[in-house]
Amino acid sequence: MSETPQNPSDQDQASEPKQPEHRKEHAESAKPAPKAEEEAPTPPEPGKFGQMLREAGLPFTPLGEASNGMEMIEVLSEHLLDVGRFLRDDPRCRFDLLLSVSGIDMKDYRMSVVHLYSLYTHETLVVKTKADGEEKVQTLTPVWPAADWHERESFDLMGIVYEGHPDLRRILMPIDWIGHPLRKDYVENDPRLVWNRR
Amino acid sequence: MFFTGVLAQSQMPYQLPEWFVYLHHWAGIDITDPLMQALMLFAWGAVLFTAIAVVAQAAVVFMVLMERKVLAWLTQRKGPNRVGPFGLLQTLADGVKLLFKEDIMTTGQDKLLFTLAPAIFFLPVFVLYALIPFTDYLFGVALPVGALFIFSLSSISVLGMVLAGWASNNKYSLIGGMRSAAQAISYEIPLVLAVLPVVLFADSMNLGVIVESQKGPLGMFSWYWFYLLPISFLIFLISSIAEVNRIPFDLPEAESELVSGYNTEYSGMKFAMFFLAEYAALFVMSALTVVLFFGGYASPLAGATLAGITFDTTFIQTFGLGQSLLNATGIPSIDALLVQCEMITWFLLKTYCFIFFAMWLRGTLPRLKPDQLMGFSWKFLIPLALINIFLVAVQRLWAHPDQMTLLASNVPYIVLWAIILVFGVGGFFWFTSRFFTEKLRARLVQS
Amino acid sequence: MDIQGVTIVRDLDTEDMVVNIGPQHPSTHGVLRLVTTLNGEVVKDMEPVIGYLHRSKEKMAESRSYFQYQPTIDRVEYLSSFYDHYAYVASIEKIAGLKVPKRVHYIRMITMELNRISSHLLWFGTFLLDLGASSPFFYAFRDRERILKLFENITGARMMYNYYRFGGVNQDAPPGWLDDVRTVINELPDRFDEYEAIVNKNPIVVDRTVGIGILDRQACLDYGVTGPSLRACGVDIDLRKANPYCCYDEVEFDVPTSEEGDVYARYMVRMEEMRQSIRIIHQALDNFPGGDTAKLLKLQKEYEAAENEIKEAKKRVMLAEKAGNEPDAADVAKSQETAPQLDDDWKYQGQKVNLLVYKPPEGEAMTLVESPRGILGCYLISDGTPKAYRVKWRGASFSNLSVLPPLMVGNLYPDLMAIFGSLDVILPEVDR
Repeated sequence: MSETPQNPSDQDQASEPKQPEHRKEHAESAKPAPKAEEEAPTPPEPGKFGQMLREAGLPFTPLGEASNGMEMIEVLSEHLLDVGRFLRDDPRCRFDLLLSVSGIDMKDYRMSVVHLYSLYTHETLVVKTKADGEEKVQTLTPVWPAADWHERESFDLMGIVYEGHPDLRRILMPIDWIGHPLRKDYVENDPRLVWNRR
Repeated sequence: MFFTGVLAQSQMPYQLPEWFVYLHHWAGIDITDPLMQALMLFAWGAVLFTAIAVVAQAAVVFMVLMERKVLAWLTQRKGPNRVGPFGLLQTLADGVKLLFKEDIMTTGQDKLLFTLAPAIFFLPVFVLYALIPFTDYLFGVALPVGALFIFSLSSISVLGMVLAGWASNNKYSLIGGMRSAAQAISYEIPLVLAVLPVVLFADSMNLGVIVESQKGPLGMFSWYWFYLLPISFLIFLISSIAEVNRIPFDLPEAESELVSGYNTEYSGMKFAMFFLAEYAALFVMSALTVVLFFGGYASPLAGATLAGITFDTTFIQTFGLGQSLLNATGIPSIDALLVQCEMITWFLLKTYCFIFFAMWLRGTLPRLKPDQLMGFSWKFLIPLALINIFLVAVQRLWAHPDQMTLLASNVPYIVLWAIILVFGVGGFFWFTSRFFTEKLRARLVQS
Repeated sequence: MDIQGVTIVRDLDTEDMVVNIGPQHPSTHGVLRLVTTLNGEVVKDMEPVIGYLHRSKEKMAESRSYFQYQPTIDRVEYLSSFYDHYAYVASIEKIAGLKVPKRVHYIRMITMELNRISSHLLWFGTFLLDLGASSPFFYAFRDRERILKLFENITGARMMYNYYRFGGVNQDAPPGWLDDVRTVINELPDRFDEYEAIVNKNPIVVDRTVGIGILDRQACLDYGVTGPSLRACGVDIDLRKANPYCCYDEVEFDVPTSEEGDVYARYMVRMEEMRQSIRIIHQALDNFPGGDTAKLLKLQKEYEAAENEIKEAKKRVMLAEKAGNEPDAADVAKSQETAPQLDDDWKYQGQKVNLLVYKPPEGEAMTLVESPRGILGCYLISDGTPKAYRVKWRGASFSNLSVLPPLMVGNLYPDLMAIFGSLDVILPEVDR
């Protein structure tokens, strides 16, 4: 297995197409992403499920609503499992279906966005988690096993490393691929790829 | 008169055309010599077999086209219609294409077995043509153990499939070969068990005798399929389709599972040999069904008395023509040739009915799973065949061998068969359909 | 070992065989590789290897304008691409707040439901082909062809439609199209009856599908299985009912479910779904806003003529006033009138947008659609530039495929075709 979960910046040292160096420094400062909600001066009020989380004493940051009315929250990686279990088990939420895990490159940091759906209330909730400087995010597979392939895809295409994932390998790209294609700083036709080597 | 004298002198063990024997007699060969008789027999068989093989090849070529046309009609398509008139030359074009294709050998194959396997598959099937009595004159050889010989030969071709699967160095092929072995073992038993009652009735394994023995007062209804051996017939029909690996029993080459099964790795002429042999096997099995259960070359009215006329084997013979193949000048007479033509026509008509039946099944049914396939044979067909043999044996012990008397005096046995027919076969279908509907009723109502 | 109620005594020294099913195989429906460990015919282990069809659809969205990306969506899921288009277009409409005329909603509903039927028909054919029956394949394709003909009439393409636009559709339904649709869907239920007659009680089909590949509710949730496969285990979740989009709240239909969760249940659910789709289309045709296009065009002409008359009258009044004459009283009265306008809901395009450089405002939206294969999602993030910042496809097949290994382990190899076929996975959607 050529691709093990590792710090993607390790690969950068190998050869010439350097990825931007500023990425790490800016990770903590969290420059505002191109998001209407985050650029808003005052933090938005928590929605229906935000209130429930607040009552349960779980830490999160409300992000308001998406354009189609889905409630969005941001949860830190270390609280993700607790929040996930609450969202899955609480009788008022019961988000039992994990729809998708999408990795998003916010230029300075990576974000893992989870869309949850409830078969009981027919509600959707968006849970966002920032990856830390080492691109690590807590895996959700203990709570929703369905996250397995989705997290693998996110790792493959975005390079987010899901800590604790049982089988974190590339899924769509070939196993000897270099780089993570959906990143904004991805170098197309990398000279290090096998067919570019001479 | 003269020829009759020669024949009486020769005391031929098997049937040979009179003129053929006379030809030798005229050439100064001692036709009473057993060695010469054997040689003559061999020579005649070789001549006929060559003729039959050529005709059979043509029949197979036609069957491939027929299959494609029939399937096309079943699925509301037109089928091949570009090459030649009505697409008649399509198979020929395919054959030429296959001839010129590259003969691909992959690495890791057992080259000898890989080359040998199509031949092993191909040859026994074509040898079988020699045994089938197309008419009372047109056959390669009339073996006294014909029925037995046919099954022993047809089981050899399975070896070809297994070898092809093994030698291909391909996992799909291997699975296909193994499946074909298992299937052949499972379905040859009911096949042979279904023929045993026929042999009991005909008192012979000679296929010609079996055909002649089916002539009865009811015409086509005194052939074995109707009231004498209906269960044997059904078992034979099912098993023969399994024996030639056709849907729903085409597990060895299930294309949606095993790509193409045992012939996945074959191309060019080797593939064509498999392909032709499969169709030839279908032809032979259909022809056997006709010989064993459908009166062979006899016309549907053979033996029956209608409006004061007692019908002979063919219509032409009924009116007193073609009783002897030769006329006084020693040349085959026209009316005798017409009789032969009529016999061949009847034979091929019936055979193609069964070929069509197999094609119809292919257009209708899905494929079984291996476990269901084996289960059907071992749990249902074989026990049924054994019971059937027992009943037939009892009947043969008690009944008068003459069919007319059987019909007239042994009404209880006819009733017995009717009961078996209704409760055995009908009951089976009733039971299965009830079983399935019970299983499904709840869910059908629900959705 | 106990397989389907048959105890197999293992006293032989056997060796497992690893079979690479695919990437090229007749019944993997595309380019899927299944690394399967077989013990005889029994599947011991299976691992799907995907990605052979990865065409980086998500990356492509980031280098094309919103409209330029649209034709490539058809290739994400080529059997029911109306749904993908709808998810994409609806995401943009939500972000930009575009108002969509009701007629557009109805056109979208009709095309999507027709697409569901065509997709299920193809599934029906290929599923039975996997089981070994070849005829239903041709029957299904014959009917699918008629639906594709309808699509060709309205979109100009048989498979790659590229028909929906931001806030509308590419062109109005051609005159008489609604009647054509009605003719086709009037005949389809009889066809479905025919198909079910040859399949539903066929002993071989029943033997091969009943009790095979049983999924329960929890397994579905654990692997994210949605759509007919989820409904076949008794969960009546259908986004058209649960979270109505388009105008699905205005039509009546049932959500077919089944309790068993096996291959046969999935088959039955899909067959019933086609009938429900026909029901929806019938209602949509009855309540179609604006009615047939020929009528609408005639009306439009009349309105335009009326408007022209008013303009002429105004002109005459103006000329008369300029010349200092008394304008004609009739002209004055006419010039006071306002010309009748077509209802906004009768238009096939709402607010006109410049497609080539269309810039929705910043925002993000995830549109969930009930596609024939399950819940399809398009997660779109816009940063206010003419190119999408991120497009993420949540393909139903991706999750549905992941449940295959646990379903297959312990089953026979031929069951793979029944089970895999019943999941209705389409590989371009898996790999994107």
